[in-house]
Amino acid sequence: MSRVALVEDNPDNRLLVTALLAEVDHETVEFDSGEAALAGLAEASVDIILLDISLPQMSGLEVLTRLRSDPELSSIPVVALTAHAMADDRAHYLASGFDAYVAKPILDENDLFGAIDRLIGKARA
Amino acid sequence: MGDVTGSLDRVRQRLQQRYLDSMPMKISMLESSLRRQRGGAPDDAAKRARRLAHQIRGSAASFGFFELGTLAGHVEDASDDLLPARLAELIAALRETTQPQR
Repeated sequence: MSRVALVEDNPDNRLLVTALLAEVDHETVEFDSGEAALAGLAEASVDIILLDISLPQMSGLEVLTRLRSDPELSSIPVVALTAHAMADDRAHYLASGFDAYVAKPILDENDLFGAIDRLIGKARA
Repeated sequence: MGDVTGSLDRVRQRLQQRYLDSMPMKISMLESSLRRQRGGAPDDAAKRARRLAHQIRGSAASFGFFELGTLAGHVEDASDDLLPARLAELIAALRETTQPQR
């Protein structure tokens, strides 16, 4: 089992992702804003972070910047979740420092599971 | 893998039904907002409508309701002048989606 942080402001999406991850034995720790995530992640002991790009107030990109500058959190893999699904967007987010990118809506959960397994496996290797 | 795939399908079906079950409340809130806009309390009502439309826009496709997501996007992006008309379209589509199948 892995612990997955989900930073997503939409409660319906949080419910769906958490339920899908539970089916493959991942435990989810939910945050409804970037501010809440930055306040709670140090105590959450997660293996990976799923970070919505389009958060209100503090954007996903800003949250990522702050995570990367925090010595305790900087090594945790971060997956961008975004409805911006053009090829240029993908390149932009990966260049911005995200470890992977999963397009929303998540119609094939294997895209998400694959990214999580790959990054957690790499982090533990 | 077959067992996992089957259980994931069941999770999606259960949550899709739960999403549908939440629609009457959302419709009620949007109708209230529309009435308030038409009754002369436009600013606060428009903000509430756009906030809920944003939520539907961001989640409907995840539950298989692509058209609802598109219509909710039209509400969120509408100018103040067009907002009541776009809102009425979304409410009608939500009602149609939640009608029991015959």
